[in-house]
Amino acid sequence: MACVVAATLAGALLTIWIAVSQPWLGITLRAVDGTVHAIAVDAQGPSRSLPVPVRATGLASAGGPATILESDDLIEEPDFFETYERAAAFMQRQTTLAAAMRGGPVTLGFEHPAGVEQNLPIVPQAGRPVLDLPTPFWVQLLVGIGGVLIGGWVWALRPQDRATRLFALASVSLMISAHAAAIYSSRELAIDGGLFRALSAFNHFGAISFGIAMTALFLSYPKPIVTPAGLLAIPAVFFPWLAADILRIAPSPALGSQLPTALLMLAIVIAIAIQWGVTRGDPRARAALRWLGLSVVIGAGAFILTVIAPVLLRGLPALEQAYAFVFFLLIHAGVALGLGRYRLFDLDSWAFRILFYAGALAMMIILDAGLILLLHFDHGPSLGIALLAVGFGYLPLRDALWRRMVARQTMPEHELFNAVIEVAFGRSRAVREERWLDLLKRLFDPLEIAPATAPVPDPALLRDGLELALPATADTPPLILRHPFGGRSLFSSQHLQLARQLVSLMSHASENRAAYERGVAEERKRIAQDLHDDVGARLLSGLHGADLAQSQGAMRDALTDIRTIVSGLTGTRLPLADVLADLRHETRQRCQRAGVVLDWEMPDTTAGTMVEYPVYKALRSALREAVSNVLKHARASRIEVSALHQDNHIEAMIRDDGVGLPAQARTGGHGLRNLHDRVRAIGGHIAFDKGMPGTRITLTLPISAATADALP
Amino acid sequence: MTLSGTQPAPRSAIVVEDIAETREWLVAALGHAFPGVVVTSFSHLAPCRDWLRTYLPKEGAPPLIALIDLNLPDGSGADLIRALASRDPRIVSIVTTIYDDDAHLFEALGAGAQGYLLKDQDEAGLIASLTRIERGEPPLSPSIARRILQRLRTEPAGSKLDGPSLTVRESEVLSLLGRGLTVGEAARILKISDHTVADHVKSIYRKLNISSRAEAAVEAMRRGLV
Repeated sequence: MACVVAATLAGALLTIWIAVSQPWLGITLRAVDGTVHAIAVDAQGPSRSLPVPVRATGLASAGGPATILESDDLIEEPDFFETYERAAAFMQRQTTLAAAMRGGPVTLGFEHPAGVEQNLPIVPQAGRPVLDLPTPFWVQLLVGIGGVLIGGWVWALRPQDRATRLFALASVSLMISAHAAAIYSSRELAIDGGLFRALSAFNHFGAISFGIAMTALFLSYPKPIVTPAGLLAIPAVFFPWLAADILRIAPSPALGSQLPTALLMLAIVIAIAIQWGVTRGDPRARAALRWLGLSVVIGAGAFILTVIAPVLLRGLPALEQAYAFVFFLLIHAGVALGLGRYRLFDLDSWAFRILFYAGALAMMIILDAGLILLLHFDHGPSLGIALLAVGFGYLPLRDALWRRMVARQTMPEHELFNAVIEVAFGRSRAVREERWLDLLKRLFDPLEIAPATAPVPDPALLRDGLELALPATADTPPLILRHPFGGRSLFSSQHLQLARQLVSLMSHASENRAAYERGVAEERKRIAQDLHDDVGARLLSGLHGADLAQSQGAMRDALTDIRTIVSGLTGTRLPLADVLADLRHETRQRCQRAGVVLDWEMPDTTAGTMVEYPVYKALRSALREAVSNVLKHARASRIEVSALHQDNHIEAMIRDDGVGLPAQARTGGHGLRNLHDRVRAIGGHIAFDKGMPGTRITLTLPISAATADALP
Repeated sequence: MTLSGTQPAPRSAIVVEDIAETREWLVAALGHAFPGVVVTSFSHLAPCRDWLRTYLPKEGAPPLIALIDLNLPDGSGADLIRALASRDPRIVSIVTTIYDDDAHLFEALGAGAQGYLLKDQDEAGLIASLTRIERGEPPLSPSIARRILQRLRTEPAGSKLDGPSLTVRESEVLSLLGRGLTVGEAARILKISDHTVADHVKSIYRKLNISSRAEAAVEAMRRGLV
């Protein structure tokens, strides 16, 4: 690369040196209506006393004959003469004028606007100041330098590659062509005809070589279409043609110089078209080609439109050639990006973007020209109308095309969300994996989905966008998606963006599903435990119970427990008021059937109190058991019940007017002993006293297990 | 059965229950509650529907009593209750189930059930409940009363809301019953007769039926069925 830079600098310095070694008058000349006008003079230059603007009529060497100045003497590019004879005559005049200037003092004839002819003796300066070189010189110089630096960069990336070598060759050709043109097209008035001819030959050589190298490049890249030996056929045709042009044995400059240049441009376009066909099914090559082709077609097309075509159609270039060279720099930059495969996956969208802007510009120029030429509009209004038309007509169209061709948003956001939820909440791992793969197929249509061999922390584009790597998600191991959209395209950064969004949505959804599953598992565990602890115990006591009535009671309790467990009440807290209301209702119905009067006042002190489920269960069992005992054994006519909430405990009392508990029932009876144990288990206590008459049972239960220690 | 002819036509009853032992138990309970009753029992809905097509109530016989389980092998007992209610509103449909949750309860009451009994109570309790229902006293446990109160709005004075809502008196009755008071106790507190309280309860049942029909209509419209 250092050699490239050094050689480029040397070439540029040589160019500048040739340009500044020409004799200098210090006059800015312009062709106006077939005549030559001096429009400015350098304030320190040899001609500073010339009044400007003024028409310059002739130039004579000291003592020699005057040469009448013609507007053709100022012509930028001698290729545009219709015949070689006229070109030769032009060169002859250049030699004469240059010799006069080199030979010492000269006399410049000029004509005042009033019509008076005057002569001004001038001593031309031996060399031209560097700063006097006009802008077009520097533009062409920089195009040459820039081209070679770009070409050298790409070549340095892959020095053994045929494509990059050809590209480097094209770059050097471009520099030769541009630098030669820089010297002669920016001359002050004349340079020696021999030098002029040599420079022109270099210019032609550079242009033809550039065309040859580019044609060869597109016949070799992305896919080799022609063998290296076959490529030699191109210079074999065009170099003799070039020689014929230089030796002026071609029929005319147009046929000798512009035609081969245009043919080579055409050859490049054809080569690109062939490549387009050949690269079908290779999205990577296609992406590179699309970009390269676009750069060349737009750059070269603009050059041909503005410089070559008008000449072939027998006119003058629409744009100064110097500036037209900038188009080549565009091509170069574009081709370099394509060859360097720099972010190849993003070039597609840039290619479309540039194409759209170029389209807008072309449309505006055509509209503008049409309005001026056909409808005879003024420049100002026609430009305004063209701008408006493009703004309102083309840009919306461009947006629509953009969305269709590039944005490729395959699924609106809410659908994407639904799809992700569907994947994340699949019944099983297998279903989730299957749905995830389905979704990826729907979104990207890859030719291949394979498990990734290495862990993938985040979605990433691999191999220039041929592959998209996805991290493990939706119970699926990390994946590599290859050849998206049926292999017709590459993954772009938009797809990467979509993949990121997808993976992040998916991980959120999966977390939610995991939380949901944890909830389900906990609930299932609770139900299982409650079923075993409560229902299981009831059924066992029913199974092993001695008498039928006891077994039936156990079964009934089991059913009640099942209802409570299923309703999810276990583990919750219940309003004491509701608990007591239900118990009172149940007790009343039982008493009614037994013909016993129930006396149960419902105080309001329980309002707002919540009891834990185990406390409720103990209270219910105790009350049921106590009432059963009274109804069965006590021969009572009246039962008095009260239940109060006091501080942190419930105080219940059951009193009857019967015969009193048999001693055995009070101490050893199964039912009552169970009751005793159950109440003790939750930190309460139960007492049996002889009432006067009957029995009094006192029950003290904590409101919650936490308050059990504080019981009185 | 030999008494027919001299006595008024006997009462008829049906039992739809898929568990054989439970079916027998229910038939026996009906026999205790309504001596002389003629009970036909079914294990499935289909044969019951067939029987109903040919069933003609005898002249002067008391209305048919139907004990219907909700979850039957060939469908929901609630559908049968709905069919019975539309055939003859005097038919006394009573749900006998082991489910105690809101969904089953309100589906049955909404279909037109006039009683909701749990099958795991003892026989004496069941018989007592059956006779009360037959006398026109629909059972209303505190828990059911509280749930109805939560489900139906109380109508604020002068406002017109969609769907049925409870009158102030009805919600007073419900909240007293929900606190565990008997019909008689509620009547004394409200200073009205027991009979009036029972009428309020029946009215509440009707409103549940209407509200469930309105909900069904709204649901049907939402699903695009209407």
